[in-house]
Amino acid sequence: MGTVHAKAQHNEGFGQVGGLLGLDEPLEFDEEPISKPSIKLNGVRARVDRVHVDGLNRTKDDIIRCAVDDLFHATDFEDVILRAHKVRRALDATGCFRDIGVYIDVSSGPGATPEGLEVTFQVKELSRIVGGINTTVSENEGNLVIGVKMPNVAGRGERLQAEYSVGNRSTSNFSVTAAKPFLRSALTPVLSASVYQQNHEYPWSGYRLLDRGVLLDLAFNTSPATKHNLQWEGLVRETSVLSKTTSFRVRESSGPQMKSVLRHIVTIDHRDEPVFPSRGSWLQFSSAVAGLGGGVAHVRTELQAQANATLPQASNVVLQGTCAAGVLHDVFGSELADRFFLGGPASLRGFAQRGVGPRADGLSLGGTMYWATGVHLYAPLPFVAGRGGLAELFRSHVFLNAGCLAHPEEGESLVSALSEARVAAGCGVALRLGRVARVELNYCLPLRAAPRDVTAPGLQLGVAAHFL
Amino acid sequence: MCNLPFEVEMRWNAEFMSPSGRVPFIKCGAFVVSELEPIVQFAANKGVTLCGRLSTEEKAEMRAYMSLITNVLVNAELYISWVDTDTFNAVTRVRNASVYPWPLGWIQTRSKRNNVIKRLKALHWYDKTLDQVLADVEQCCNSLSQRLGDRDYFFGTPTELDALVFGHVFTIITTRLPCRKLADIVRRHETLVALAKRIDEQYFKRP
Repeated sequence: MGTVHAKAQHNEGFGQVGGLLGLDEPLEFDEEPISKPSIKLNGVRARVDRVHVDGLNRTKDDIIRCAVDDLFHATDFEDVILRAHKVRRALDATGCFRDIGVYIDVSSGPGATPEGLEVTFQVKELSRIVGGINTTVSENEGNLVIGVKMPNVAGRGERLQAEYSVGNRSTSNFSVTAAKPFLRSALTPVLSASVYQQNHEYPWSGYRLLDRGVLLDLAFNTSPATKHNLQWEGLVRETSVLSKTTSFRVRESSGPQMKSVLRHIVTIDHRDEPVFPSRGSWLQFSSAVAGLGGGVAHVRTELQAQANATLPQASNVVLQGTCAAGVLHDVFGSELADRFFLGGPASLRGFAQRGVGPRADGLSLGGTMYWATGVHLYAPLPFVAGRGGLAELFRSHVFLNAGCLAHPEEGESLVSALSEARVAAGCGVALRLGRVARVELNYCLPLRAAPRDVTAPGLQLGVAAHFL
Repeated sequence: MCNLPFEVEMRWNAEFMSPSGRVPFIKCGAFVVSELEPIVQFAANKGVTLCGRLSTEEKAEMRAYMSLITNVLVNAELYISWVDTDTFNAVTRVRNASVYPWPLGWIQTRSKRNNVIKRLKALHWYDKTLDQVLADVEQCCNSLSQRLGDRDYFFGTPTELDALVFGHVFTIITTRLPCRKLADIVRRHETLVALAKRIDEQYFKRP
């Protein structure tokens, strides 16, 4: 239990607020109208005398003090409630607590000022060790993840996390991550370090990757919507071919390679919701420089963006525009795994996975530059009356997407290499999985393809966290 | 020896490009064939062979000698380059790690050494002392030089056995190692050395 006292302050104003006000999980506070304003809250002068935080066990006082400090600057009652909510969010963001309740009462006892209030946060700390089994999806593969997490190890939000996962393509991965948030500094940086082993199989390109590496990551927010990640990754990548008949072009890139990458990712997210947004835009720009040691040197930049707008004529029809582009400049040693690939249900629909671009013996070789763009029109499921319920998880959509992947050889003009656009259109149903991923079942019609591309006309099913 | 056109290309990852994980391998059109025997078989399927005129018994004898070499000389070479500490530190480690950036070279060398040791353990070669290994080599060389006698080639004309013997003998006598004993033993068998020189002059004469 921690108690924070405010300094005594003598004010002339006088206000009476009686009773106990409990805020139970006000998740979308800004959208919640205050229903019965019998007293105008912002006219009631108030000041916070004390803040109690109940249920603290091993969390250190200094980070709590820092989080609740904001409350003491409140001048009227509305302010107190808003700030209390902000503090609640901040406490939630530390990742140390499970249930956070907020109670506001008039202060009593010695040192109580006439308009003084006492704010009590009732928290439940997460247990020292949490285990779980869950499923994740990535690049068209589902994984069963067994994880052990130790939240708040040293009392200041530090996390230790270990994960072992088995994928449906019989790959196994593990990762051990330690993260340390700096809750008291500006920009709230989070420093994390992880050690991992990842297996990936790419039957569309005929190779398998075994990555073992170290990742250091510094994440910080420069504004509520802007997130930066500064990363250094050192890894040993073992590439091996999948079968004896794999193309020699793929075979050439096998063998172990060491790679050291410095990466910066900036994400700006103004959307109202990540999976089925109805307004706002999202942008992610990542740039990586490899070659500080190791046998691979290149510069790789990639941009992904998305914009959403609700149609003014129909309130539940959303128009979405997406685009993505990437350039890889190889200095030495960049192999297949560093390149870009295009095609598949989560990228360029209407084409087989990695079905666009240079190929050898039926295997995709990838390219050094690409662009892709798409237009979607999302609507709720037809023939389903009313809102809410299961139908909220579904959207129907119509789309048109286009893109091009090229591997320009010496002397070839970039413009001509990138102007060979592939186009596909279609319609389908999308289902959201939680707040992170979605499943799409589409009927696709490739409209324009290069002779060597592999198209996938007809039904196409895709599961991914990010779709074009 | 077959007068087939070929081109030798050095690659840092040749070992990993090979389907069996061992060198040498050839790429012929869409086919990738690794190691001597499959390569010889592959050429024979195309109608190019060196032992076509040998009788069945002679062919079987040739196979026997070839497997003697793979069982004795190859393991002895592995033993000396990966298990013998002096050679490993002075030569093998440096050479094996040279194609990789630090610290990958160290990791790769370690894992490769472990693999070789595992293989030698399975064949009960790891428990041998250096002298026992050298005695085995001595015996192998003895039987080879006895078979060769004073002919130019094992079976009169060049066969793949001559090629294999040349490969090993020539490498052993021309590679400088801290452990000279292996080269000394092979050098004592003058007929084998003469065979290697003959083949070198006839087929690998540099202009």
